Amino acid sequence: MLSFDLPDHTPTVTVHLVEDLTKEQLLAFPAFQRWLSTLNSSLARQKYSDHAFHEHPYILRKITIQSIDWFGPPGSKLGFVKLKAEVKSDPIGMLPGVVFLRGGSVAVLMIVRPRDARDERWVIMTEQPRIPAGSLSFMEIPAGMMDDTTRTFAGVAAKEIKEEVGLTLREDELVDMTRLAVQGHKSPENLANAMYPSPGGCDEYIAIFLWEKEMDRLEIENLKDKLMGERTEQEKITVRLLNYERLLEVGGRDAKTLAAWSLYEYLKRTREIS
Amino acid sequence: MSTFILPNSSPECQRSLATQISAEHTFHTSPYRLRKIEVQVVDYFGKGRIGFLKLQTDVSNDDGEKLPGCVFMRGGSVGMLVILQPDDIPPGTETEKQVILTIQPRIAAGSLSFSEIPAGMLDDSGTFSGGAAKEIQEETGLQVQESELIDMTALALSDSPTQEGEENLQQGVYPSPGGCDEYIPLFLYEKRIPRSQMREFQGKLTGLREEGERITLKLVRLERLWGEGARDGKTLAAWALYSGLKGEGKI
Repeated sequence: MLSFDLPDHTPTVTVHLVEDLTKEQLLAFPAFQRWLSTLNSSLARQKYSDHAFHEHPYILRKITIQSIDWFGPPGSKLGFVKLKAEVKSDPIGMLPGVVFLRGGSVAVLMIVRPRDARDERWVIMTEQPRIPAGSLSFMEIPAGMMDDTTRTFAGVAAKEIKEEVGLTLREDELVDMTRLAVQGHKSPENLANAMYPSPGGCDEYIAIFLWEKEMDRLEIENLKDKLMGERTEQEKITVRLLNYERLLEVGGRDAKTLAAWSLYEYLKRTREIS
Repeated sequence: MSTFILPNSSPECQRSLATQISAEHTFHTSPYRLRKIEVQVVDYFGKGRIGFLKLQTDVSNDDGEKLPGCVFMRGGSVGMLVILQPDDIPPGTETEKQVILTIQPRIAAGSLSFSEIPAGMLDDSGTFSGGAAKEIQEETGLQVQESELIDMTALALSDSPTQEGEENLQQGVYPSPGGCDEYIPLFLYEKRIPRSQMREFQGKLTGLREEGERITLKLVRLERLWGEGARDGKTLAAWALYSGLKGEGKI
């Protein structure tokens, strides 16, 4: 087990690693880079005399890596890193510093509307096992990531949606709702323009997009037939169609779904989206 | 490192796995089973009380197909939408309603001043609403009776069938079901107070100093909550439930 000092940090910040994780691997992990850079810029703001902690500023002293999970064979791609950061102010004390590090992601509120009834809305959802929630069939809006190369919504949910209903979501068809919402509230701290589900323990931030499309009634009915019956195939993710009116009731255990509803409803009411 | 065999208990996971017995269940032909749990990390909250666990679980079927099994385990929290209204405004309107937000360091988000609705971790004893009342008191200074709190998640989710048989999930919002067991019942507390008292909340310093909490309060107009609180999942979730329930006349 090794430790090293973070480059370019004064005072010194020692990082204690675990076995099977090298300094290079940790420093190359995008989530670690982003978290550390955001934290450092937030700590730096304490130098301003109007900052709440200006008198007794907090300082990053130490980082202890506790566990790592690889997405694939060890050494391939880091998935999750669990760490403890020691951020301390003399004489005030320490801040809670447990971090479950996993980086950002995106989610899409996918709405289809029949041309013959524009007030009717259907939402494309995913239903899948979520072991942390103790569920084999958790309902959510599709989650994944933006592929920088193809500029499309990507990941296991996106793949299943493409297979089931033949839809690929291109970046230019998506409205970034979280960005619109935080527009008037720029973060002086360089936080992401996204929704943080659990900022007390996790670095995760989720950009919530809207994809809304009009379709012929026949296309909508075809979707219903395909997606509203019993699950027959042993797919890990099942694509579902849900009436928008039931979104809170059926999707309400999923924070992303509630957040997407909030953003969509508010943006609609203020006419930022039609 | 020591190991033991899990005694015959019924956590939520076992209940959901049991639903695969039903012939209509998607996974009926090749059901998943919980085979192993590895505890990777424990974080204690003083006096030997477990705070967080990091687990790796093996949930797989006989064909060797695995489900993503990393769990950051921390139990439930409560979130509170605390709405104040000056008592010189006629009752029954949404005019001049203000929401109390907490601003505090959130190291995981890399922030020293993250805005959220008041929230706190549930401890093992007591009810969700008891935990909520306690957190409101600690974070806002308001003394609240459990009976004055409205459990919005219970109201909004009460009719919802689970898609496959009878899973037994919590009546709460799950911030990150793909990685964490956390669930958050969301409560509503509304109070009409003299206009002069409302101003006292702006900039008030609260939180339990001895637990390292450094909380500053701010008031945000209800109609602006979605923008000011848009980075906080709990705030957007609470606004959704409040608006939805109001729209249906349930609150």
